[in-house]
Amino acid sequence: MIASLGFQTVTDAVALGAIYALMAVGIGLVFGVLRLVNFAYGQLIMAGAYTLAFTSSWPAGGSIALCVGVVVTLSLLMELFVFRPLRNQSQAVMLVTTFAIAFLLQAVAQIVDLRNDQLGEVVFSWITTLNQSITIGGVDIRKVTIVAVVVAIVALLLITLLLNKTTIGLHTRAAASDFRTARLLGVRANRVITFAVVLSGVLAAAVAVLFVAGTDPGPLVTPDFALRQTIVVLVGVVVGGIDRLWTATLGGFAIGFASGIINALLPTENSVYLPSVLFGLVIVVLLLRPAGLFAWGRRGQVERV
Amino acid sequence: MRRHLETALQLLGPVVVVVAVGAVSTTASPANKIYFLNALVYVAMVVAIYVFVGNSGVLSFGQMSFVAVGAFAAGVVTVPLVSKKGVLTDLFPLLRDHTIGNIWSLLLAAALGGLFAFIVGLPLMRLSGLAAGIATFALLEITHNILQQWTKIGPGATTLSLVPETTGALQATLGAIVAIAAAFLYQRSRLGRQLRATREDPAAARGIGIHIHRQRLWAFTLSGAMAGFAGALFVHLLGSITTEQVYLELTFLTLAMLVFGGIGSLWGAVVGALVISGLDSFLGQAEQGVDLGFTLDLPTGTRLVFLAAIMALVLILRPSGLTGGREFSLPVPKRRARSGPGSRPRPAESP
Amino acid sequence: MLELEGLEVRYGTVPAIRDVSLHVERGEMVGVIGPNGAGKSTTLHAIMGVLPWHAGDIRVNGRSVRGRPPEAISRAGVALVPEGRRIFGDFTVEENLRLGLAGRKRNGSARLAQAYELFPVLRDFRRRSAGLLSGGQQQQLAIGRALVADPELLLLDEPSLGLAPLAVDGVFEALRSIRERGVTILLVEQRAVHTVALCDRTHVLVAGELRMTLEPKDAADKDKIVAAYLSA
Repeated sequence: MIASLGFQTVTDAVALGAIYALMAVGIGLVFGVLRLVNFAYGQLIMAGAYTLAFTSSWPAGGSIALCVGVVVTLSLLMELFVFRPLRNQSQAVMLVTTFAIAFLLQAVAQIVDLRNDQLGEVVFSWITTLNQSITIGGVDIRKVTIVAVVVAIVALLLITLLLNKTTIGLHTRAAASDFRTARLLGVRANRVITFAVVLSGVLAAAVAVLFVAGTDPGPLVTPDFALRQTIVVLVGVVVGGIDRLWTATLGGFAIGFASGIINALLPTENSVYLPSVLFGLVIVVLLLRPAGLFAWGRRGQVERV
Repeated sequence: MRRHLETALQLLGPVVVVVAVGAVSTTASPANKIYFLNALVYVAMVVAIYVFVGNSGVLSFGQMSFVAVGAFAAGVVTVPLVSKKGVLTDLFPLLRDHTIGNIWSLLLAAALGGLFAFIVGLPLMRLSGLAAGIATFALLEITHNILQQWTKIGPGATTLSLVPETTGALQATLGAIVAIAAAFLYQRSRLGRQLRATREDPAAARGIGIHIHRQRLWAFTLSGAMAGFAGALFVHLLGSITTEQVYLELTFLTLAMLVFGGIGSLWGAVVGALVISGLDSFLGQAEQGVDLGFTLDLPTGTRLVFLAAIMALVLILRPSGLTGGREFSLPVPKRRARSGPGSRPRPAESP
Repeated sequence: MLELEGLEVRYGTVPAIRDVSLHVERGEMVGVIGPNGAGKSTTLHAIMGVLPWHAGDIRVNGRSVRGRPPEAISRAGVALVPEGRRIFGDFTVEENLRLGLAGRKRNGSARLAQAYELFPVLRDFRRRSAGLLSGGQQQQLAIGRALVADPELLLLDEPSLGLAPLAVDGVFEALRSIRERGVTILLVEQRAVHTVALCDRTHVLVAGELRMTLEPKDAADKDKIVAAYLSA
């Protein structure tokens, strides 16, 4: 069945999976050190997209650099004013607060949008080039699809290197594993958290660029851009296993890939109850493996009673 | 004696406040009246959520599923026959050819909400933490999807209209009181206390023989029934309902109301619902210009900004919510403040 | 170099330790023994800044450490070997040791080498997952990890807990070596006789209060030790 979908669809799905994997890492990193699910992660991506939209006439490099700057700054502000005060609170409070922040940012964006006559269709010079196809072995693939996959792979590799080969990476992993003992050994909590937040921000910026570049034709920059995606990625991350970074990433990729394939299947299948089936599957998976599909034998964050 | 008084106050406090809101609503202009009644219906919804989330400590995003079931059920069975036959032609004959009265629709909604909650709770109550959150969110999505597509039980993606608007001041107030009373009775019962024990320390609770899954299931079922009931109140207030109205936005709004008010107490649920809903209405008015001695005129779209900002700010500054998770109580006279166990404010958990 | 004065730590409203005063001079090895729940771990956690305290003071090298976070106290030259070892099972042995460095760059490899010298088995396992080590080996890792920070004061929380007798001897041997290198040690232990024999002096903590101080010569006097534990 997958073969019949055509190479383009599959590669698009892989690209979407790659982008979702990046989001999963962003969410997983912050969760690892702060035990906090950042509902407002999608808004960081949205902020990045808006920055790109406002600088669409700039050269690509400048636009992207500013996007990274804005998103990282916003992430750090979030850490300082929202995450830090909430560090020892319950899951419920953290979730609702980050959601309130998400809502707040979305509402702000809506005002900005109104004042600027809907940024909806913005044309970026460098994006049109990316959306052109190149032919590989007789099959048409959009350049941006390849770029997305390559960027994701490179980013994931870099992060793996950062986490495994550097001191700050070691400290971050330790903090994610056992925060209390890590502090006892002298690991600086704030430094580690800042590192995770900045990294997660850079990833959000990358995702913003890829999303904006990948939507065809001409990206649609709206306030609820990426909110839906955050929820989908969250589902994927928890189903994959939020406890470990690589299971979370796999979960993100899996749900992204599945979304891509399913979106392509929809017109032909025309099944209106597809969401129910999918979410039913999510429930089944969680009942059978609450710690995550890819987690092995660990109790982790969730427990069955 | 003092303890009985304090306990009675925990129930009477919220009830009196709700009655006050209901009373004030009768003096308001028709345009404003709906804000008050809406607030009371929100109280019923948030209290329903609290019964499960507050007592078990398990976060559920799916309670609006039961509100939706209740709303649509109550709506479909009370729409006048003439309109049903004309507009909702696809319905099951049982639904299409019969209509029932207002009170019956409320009871039906509660029964269906409870039944639905029981059935899905059987598997779902095994989960905790994030898995429970995601699973209940999935439940919300499934309910939304089915209600949106299955035209044999409801209007599907279109609006269900012409539902009799029977939720006036009396019904709204009584409905809120019923919800508060049910929650109060539950949390003071043996079942409620056992569940709260599992919230504090699951391992210890198991150790003394409390069956976690069973206790959560009871609370979930009761919560579902109350949510269904609230849904019926809701649809009879609005006179119509769509699937989008009982979906994501309402889920987060009601959850935020609970956390904002204080997730661990009944008083918190009531306060949160009333304050946020009041704030929301006020800000909505302010967008059109309101007179506070000076004229406050907010630009359009800023209502959401302020609402979200206020919620976030309160939660950051006071994460235990406005009530701090404590039940309603009156201030203790100073001279008795330091003597004996009876004079300290009682946290909601104590037996 | 460590001074506790009238220390009181509470859990909620209940005092876990009350009016605890002791001092440890540079180069000394001082023990704290007592029955379960006496408050021994609580004392160490308070020194390490993990628990807030309600009365009294703790001074390291003459300076009070009130209100300072654990990472600051660690950097002030205090290292804790926690109860239950708390090593990172998914990391390699070497990564665990490096964690002890906590970013102190100078002489990192030299310090690692010292740890390997003290506990040769760690060198053999350096690239293996720490979770594969036996209880006794993990305890060595935990101590090694604390030493790598080159602390002036080493705190140990029941290092012999759950270890086989042979491993226990190994631990006490290691402590003797460490002491010879000039590290000041505060040892919290369950094994009364071992501890009393080894330390310069040993305090007995019962129900949150210090009851008695024992000398090495008391190690043979079982009755005295029992009486100390049971004192009301």
